[in-house]
Amino acid sequence: MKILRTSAVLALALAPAAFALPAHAAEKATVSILHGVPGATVDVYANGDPLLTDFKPGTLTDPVMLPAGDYDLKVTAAGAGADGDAVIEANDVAVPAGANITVVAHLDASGTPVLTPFVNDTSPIDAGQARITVRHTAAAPAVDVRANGDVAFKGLTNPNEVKTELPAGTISADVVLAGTDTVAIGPADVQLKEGTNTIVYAWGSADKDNLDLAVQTVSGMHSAPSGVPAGGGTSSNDAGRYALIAGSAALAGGMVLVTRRRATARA
Amino acid sequence: MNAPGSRARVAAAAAAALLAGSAAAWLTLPSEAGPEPGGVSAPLTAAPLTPPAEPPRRTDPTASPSTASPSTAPTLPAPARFEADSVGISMLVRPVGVATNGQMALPPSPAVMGWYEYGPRPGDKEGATVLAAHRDMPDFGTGPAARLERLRRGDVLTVRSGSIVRRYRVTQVAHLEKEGLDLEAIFDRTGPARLHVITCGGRFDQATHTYEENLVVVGVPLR
Repeated sequence: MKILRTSAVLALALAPAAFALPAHAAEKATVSILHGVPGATVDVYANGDPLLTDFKPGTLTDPVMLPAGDYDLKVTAAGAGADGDAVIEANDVAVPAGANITVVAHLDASGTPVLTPFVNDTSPIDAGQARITVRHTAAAPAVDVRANGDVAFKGLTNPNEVKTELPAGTISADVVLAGTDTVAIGPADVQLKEGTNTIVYAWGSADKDNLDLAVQTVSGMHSAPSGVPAGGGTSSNDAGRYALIAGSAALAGGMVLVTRRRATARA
Repeated sequence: MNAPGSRARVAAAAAAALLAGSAAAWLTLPSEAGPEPGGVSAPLTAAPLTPPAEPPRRTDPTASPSTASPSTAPTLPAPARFEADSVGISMLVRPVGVATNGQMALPPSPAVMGWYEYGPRPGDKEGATVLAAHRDMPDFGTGPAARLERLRRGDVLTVRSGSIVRRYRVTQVAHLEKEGLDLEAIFDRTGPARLHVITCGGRFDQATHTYEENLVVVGVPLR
């Protein structure tokens, strides 16, 4: 009896410490879901519970906070129910604490529907810059991504991503078959907002001629400029100073010449 | 007139000129206090920027989270003019970003004020709208922003965006050393809506042609 009571007290004493852990917010992850399988309206289940219903191709969900952990994800035809046939199934999808993830239902290079979780880069971005990420999630061969006509990324294949940081602004982007000028998607104007990660997905199928782009923006990674250089002194002072120097010199030199000339004349 | 006598005279004149010139150069060396003579340098305050207290938020029961998302909010107009009547400042404002060295890019002329275009706009519900202008610049002289340090708590600042006029009450005039400056606080995009008007101040370093301090005037919106 006594032993039991002691352990009960111990548990109570430990409880506040556990609650005080600051890691609470970090135990969740930010998750968005993109539907990139053409032609199929679906429902999505996570660990057997409905997560999304009537989810249409080309749709990106708003980010939701989910507890970190491993998830069994299942995509079924809309209305098929939790026990319905899986269009796509992925078990033990890791959702790490504090991460920002986009789970993409898409076609692999050969046209089979798959689920790919991508971790979105939310590291700080220098002031004035923007991050762009391009993800190949289409049933299509390797591609090059061009920005304003120049190749920015070479030989990107499904299901991979490339990213870089550029000055904020709008770029005209298109996707060409790798090593060619054959445009597969675009061109489209992509606005790269300062301090954000703009994620462009190429999705659909080259064979079915329904390739398309989906765009996701993750914000809040901006940084402050490194300083405010709000003064450089004045050259008006300098100009006056140099005029004074030249003036005094001329005056002194002139005086010497004049006095000497007078002295010479008198002699 | 013999040649040697003439040469001696010229040499003497040249020597006198050199001497006088050097004396003038030495006498007119700019003082270390900065190029604004007679300006009383305000005491250094080590106090950090204090964001104004958050006003009580009114929750609108009809507003749904989706309509409140920043992506769907209409973009407010950029500021076009800044005025501080109590110290006689009226300046054009134009949008600026970041220079290649990572610092805020300012209009070259001290007559024009820059607005940090990546930060909040006047009227945005959150964060600091940042305006900054050169106090002075070589080839331009001293600008109106040099008078910002004369502002006092309670003075009114005006920011115009076309026909929209927004007024701010000065809550702080802070002289902050550039070394170790909390730039994240100055360019904070969260917290209560406020105005940060920045120029330079303190000692002018002749070697680097930079001032050692930033002057930051903090204003809160007036209804």
